[in-house]
Order: sequence, then structure tokens, then C-alpha cells
Amino acid sequence: MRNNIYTPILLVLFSVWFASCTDVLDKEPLGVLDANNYFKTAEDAIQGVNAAYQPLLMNNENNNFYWVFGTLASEEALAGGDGSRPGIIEIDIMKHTAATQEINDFWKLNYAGIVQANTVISKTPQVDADQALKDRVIGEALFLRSYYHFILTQVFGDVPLILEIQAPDEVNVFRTPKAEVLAQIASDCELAATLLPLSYAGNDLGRATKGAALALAAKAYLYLKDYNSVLNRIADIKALGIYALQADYRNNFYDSTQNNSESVWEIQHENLELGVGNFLNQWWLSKKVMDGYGFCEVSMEFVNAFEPNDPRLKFTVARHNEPYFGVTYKRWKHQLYSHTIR
Amino acid sequence: MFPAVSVAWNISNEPFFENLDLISSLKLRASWGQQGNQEIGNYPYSSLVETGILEYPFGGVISTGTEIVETGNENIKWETTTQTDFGIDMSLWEDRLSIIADYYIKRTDDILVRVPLPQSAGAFNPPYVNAGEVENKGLEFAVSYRQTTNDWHYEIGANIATIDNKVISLAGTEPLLGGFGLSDGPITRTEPGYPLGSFYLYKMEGIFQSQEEIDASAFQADDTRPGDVKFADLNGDNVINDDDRAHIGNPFPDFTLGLSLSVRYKNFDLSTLVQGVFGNDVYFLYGNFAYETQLRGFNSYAKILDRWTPTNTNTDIPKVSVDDRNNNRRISTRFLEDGSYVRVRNLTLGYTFNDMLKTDKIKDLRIYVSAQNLFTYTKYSGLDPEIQANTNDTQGYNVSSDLAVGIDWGTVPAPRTVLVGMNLKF
Repeated sequence: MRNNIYTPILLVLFSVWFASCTDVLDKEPLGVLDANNYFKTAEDAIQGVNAAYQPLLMNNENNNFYWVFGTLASEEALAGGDGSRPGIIEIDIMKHTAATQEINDFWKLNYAGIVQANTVISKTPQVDADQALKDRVIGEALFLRSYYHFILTQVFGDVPLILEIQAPDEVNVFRTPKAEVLAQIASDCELAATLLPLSYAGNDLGRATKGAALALAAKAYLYLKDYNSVLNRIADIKALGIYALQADYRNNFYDSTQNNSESVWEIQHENLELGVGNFLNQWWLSKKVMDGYGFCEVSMEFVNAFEPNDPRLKFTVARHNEPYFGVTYKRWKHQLYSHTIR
Repeated sequence: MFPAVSVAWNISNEPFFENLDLISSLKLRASWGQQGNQEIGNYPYSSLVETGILEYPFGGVISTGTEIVETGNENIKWETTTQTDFGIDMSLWEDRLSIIADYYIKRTDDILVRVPLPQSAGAFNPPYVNAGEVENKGLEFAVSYRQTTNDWHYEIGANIATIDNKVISLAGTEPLLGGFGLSDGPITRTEPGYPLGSFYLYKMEGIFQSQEEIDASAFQADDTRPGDVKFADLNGDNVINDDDRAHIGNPFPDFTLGLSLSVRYKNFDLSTLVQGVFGNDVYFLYGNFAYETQLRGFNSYAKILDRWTPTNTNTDIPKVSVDDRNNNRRISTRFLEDGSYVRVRNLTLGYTFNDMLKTDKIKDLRIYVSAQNLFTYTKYSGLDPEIQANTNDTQGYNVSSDLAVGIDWGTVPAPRTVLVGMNLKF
């Protein structure tokens, strides 16, 4: 049965494997888009900064709830809707917690923008492009980083001020006092203003401009109560000579009169299906109108805050039986409403 | 360099075993070895970007962009596992019965786990981090028996394994957090002395029955009312807050069990595979919907009809409320359940027609019925005790965290499938 029955067997196996000990094996990644190697050309820098604009959009893809904090938390409007966003009701009735989804989403979104901007700021100097383009891209990223910090500090007060790419062991940071955040914003925007162009044409319309950077610097100084600096920055903006109020207030809301002389800097929206559109039309449209979500039903207090015959009121609030941008809205009472709202 | 040494003694080959017919072979084994692990994808040291994402319209034209999708860790290094193993292999009765038993101690240094970043770091896919040292130890035991007679052939196998997972030390000073849930996450906390991804929860003591009981207990919220959940004041400071959470619950099972059976009688064949998992805890996060009401109109489990009311006081389901002012749905033992289960993974019955066929073109014909996940025995109240990792734990980024296993978001359960099939051999 067993052939080598008299042979005592003692098996000793000794195996040694050699693993990566020499530099020969440390290869640079090939075909993988590694952030350290990605930024090489002018186009790479532009693509990088394009992504830093994405958090501005007001739609479902990125959950930008900036509007909630100013509008619903105040008495300007009430969170209506069907309850599908319990968080905005929590904010409206001041029962929000650190776990409220909209608060988390807003925080996360803006920091995603800041981290993206920081990547652009740190990688763009090394790309192979002419200095004017590099300056513009870095100026845009500085402006966007400042803008995201600015709206974060408006909502949260002291917030982490993130100015560099962080290693995973450096990510647990404390909040920075609001005044320091604002001072950083003011100085970054002043730097950005020296890098950015006065305006853009064609397919670059909507990028950060010199005027936008000066205006955000002025706002930061305003919150710092440094009124002289506010006045100086506003004088700088005026000196650019390209801004003026519109004769007709409603021009600020028409598709055809976007980016007009009254607009220093404007968030661009285009196509809902492709994820770069604006959801607020439907979210804010009253639930009394068909297809309206009614997430932001204006209060009478807000309406009454307009002076009598203020021409802006009828372009700000749609009221029953009154024309609003060519559509006469009616309360929806179980009969189909024929207008498609755009 | 990863060395390994192993020693085995085939006792049954020794002279003194010559006349033992009962034991056909017996071997003692011991081994020690180190192994590296880098099964973590390519280039975890560098941040990854994705190109061509539709980002933003400039001048009415939608532009693409390049986004960071994962942050890298420039300091990443190999994970090293040192395993010591003692084992016995034995077979009896001319190899009809075989037994394999092992005891192992596995210490993993610089363990590579995906650790979620705070959202201020961008909240991308969590990077791999060499998190510290983890020890796994346990016993593995497998036994199988097979026999063949004229008409019968059968094989029975069973295995059982225990696992004891413990974090020995952490590379950083801070505990690692995981399982960012719907409500006030994180649900897990990883620190020395406890398993990886140990549940870190408030402890539910019961339901407040009266205002007097609320007044006599630790403060929870301004609006605590009879019918709300009473949480334990674990640190005794008379206030229920974040300091009253503790390591309660282990996502790792005490032991797992596998049973296999294969029987053939004449032309019939029957086989089954049964799997069991015992002693693991599952966090029933879906209970946020199942046992609570929402402003949003989700349906709840029928069990919510047994909620606390002044006339229905003997229940563990708090009163329903629209805005949950006592935060009854906070992460607590209320939603922690025993995740043990036994599942009939597979059951197959077949019949082979080989000698009845009148043609020699077909060599073999077998028809069979096979069922997957036929029965599951569990006390777990969720959809499926076999929890699938969920990317909600990383706030929507498309990988799950290693520190958030055993959290049930109500993902689609494993389906029960029944197959009727035919095998033809030509």
C-alpha cells in the first residue's frame, strides 16, 4: 500500500520571494490619468479649471443649496413642497442639525470646488503654455476658491481654510476664524484681479473676470468692516468702465439678455438633461401651479417689503391672475394647466 | 522580501504506524510566513483625474473638464501579513473520512484600508491608508466523509471557522471613522482593542413611559416626551450627548459554517450547499425608514403599528412623530441586530438517462432542477442578512469603505432563483 513506508519524511520548505527592492520596478503610471502627470498642456489647465466651475450650478447633480440658507432660513419664504426634502423644512423651522442633508451637501460641494481649484493653482505653473493663459487660469482658480470659501463662511462662520493640496494625514484640520478666511479671500481676489482679463468673448463668456475678482474682494472687505478698502475696490470696478445698470430691470432675467452690463459675474446654466441646467425654476415654482415643487413659497412679509409701485415686484414674485414674464399664473385647482413653464 | 518556512511530519509514514489500518494518513503541519499585499488597484499613491466630464456652459457651449476623482497617498507602502499556522491532516478508513484542523494567527501590519476623508478634503473616493496593525486569529476545522457502494455514492462535508479580529495599533493617533449614515454618523469607530469597523453607538434603554421618568433621567432634548426612546447615560454626566456612545457590536461573525452534501443513487443525483454565519451584528440603517415616519411619504414596516401610545406601552417602538424631536433615530442599539443566518445556497436534483438512450449519438443526457438561495433562516428583520457593502457609506462616491461593513441600507437582497436545465453530451 505504501511504498516508502520505512522512510521517515521530514519536509522542510524554505522559500524566499523577492519583491520590489530596486528602483527599476518603480514605473511611472502609463495610461492612467494621474493628477501629478496630467497637467502638461494649456488644454489640460483649461480642462482642470473648467471642472472648478461645476459646483456653482443649481441643480440636482450637485445639490447646491446656497439659496436655502438665505431665503428659507429667513422669513422671506417658506419651505413648502411635498416633504421630499425634509432638510429644507428643518432649516426653515430652525430644527436643523449637523446631519441635515442639505447642509452636508452644501459643505461637501463647495469643498470639492476648493480642492479642484487648489489642484489647478498648484499644477498650472508647470504646464507648457504661454504665461498669459497660465495667469488667467490661475486667476480663475483663485477667484473660484475665494468664492467657495466666501459662501461657506457666510453660512457657517468659521470654516477650514484650505489653500493647498492635502496629504491624507493632513486632512483633519481645524476651522479658521471667519476674519482670517475673509482676509485671505480679499488678498487672493486682489491678486486674481491682476491676472484676469476684463472680459471674455464667445465660448469663454462666464469665466471669472477682473471685475468679478474686485467685486468679491470688496464684499470680503465689507464683512471685515474695512469700508475704505470696499470703496477703493468699488472705485476700481467703476474705473473699468464696462458696467452699468439696465434701463429695464427685467433684462436681468431674460435668456436673451443674459450677461448684460449690469452683471459683473453670472453663473451660467444651459441644459438640464445634460446636467448643466438650473432646477430652481421648478423648485421655486409654487405648488399652486401645476409642476411646481413649491420649495420656496414667498411670504406676504416679503411681498409687503416692496415699496408701493416698486417696478421690481412684478418681476420678482408671480401672483395669482397677474402676468409674470408673459405668463398669467393661476392657482391650480385640480384642472390641467396648459402652460409649460420655462 | 517576504520569507516563509513550513514544516510537516507525516507521522503515518513512521514504522510504528505500519499496522494501524484505521488511520490511513496523519500529518502534523506548522508554518510561518510573511506575505505582502498590494491588491489595491494601481497608483494609489497619486490622485486620479477623470477627463471629459461635462462641467459647465461657457457662452452657451457646454464645456468638458477634468476632475479629481480620488486622492492619492504618497506615503503608501506594502501591507505585510505574518501568519503562523498549526495544523493536522488526518484520514481514516482508507481515506473515506478526512479531517483537517488549523489554528492560525495572522497579524497584518500597515493594513491597507480605504479611510473616508473629512468632506473638507474634497470627499472623493476614500484613499488607501496604511492604517495600523490588525490581528486575526481563529480555528478552521473541516471534515468530510465519502462512501461508494453499488448503487450509492455519497459525500458529506462540513467546515467551521472562527474569526477574532482585533486592531492592535493605529498608525495615526485619531480613531478611524466609517459608516456615514443617513443621520448622525459615523456609525463605526476603529481603534485599538476593538475589531475593524466596530459599531460605536448610543445604547437604547427602553421607552420613556411618563414625564416623571423623563425628569428623573439624563437630559436628552427639550422636547423629550413619553413614548420617546430612553438612551443610556453611559458616562454618568446626566446629559445624553456624543460622549455616551460606546463600542457595542461587532460586524465580524463568531464563526461561519459550511455544509455540503452530494448523493447519487442509481441515476438520481442530489447536491446541496448550506452556509451559515453566526454571531455578527448588523446595523439596520434601513430602520430609519422602516420604523420611523418621514416627512417624505415612504412606507414603513407593519411593525410600526405596534408603536408606543398611552394605551400601548409594552413595546420597543417609540411613538411616531413628524419631526423626531428627541432624535429617536440617532445611531443606537435600537437598530443593531443579530445578523446570524443559515442559508441553503444551492440545492440541485438531477436524473441521468445515459443507459436508456436508443441512439449512440448522444452519450449522456441529464435533466436537473437547481435552486439558489432556496431558504434562509434568520431572526434578522431586514431584507437580507447577507449585507452588501453600500457606497452610501462614502457619501455617494463609488466605492465603499472597509470600515463600514455590516451596515444595511436596504440594498437589493440576493435573489432566489430556480433553474430547470438539461445537459447533453455528444
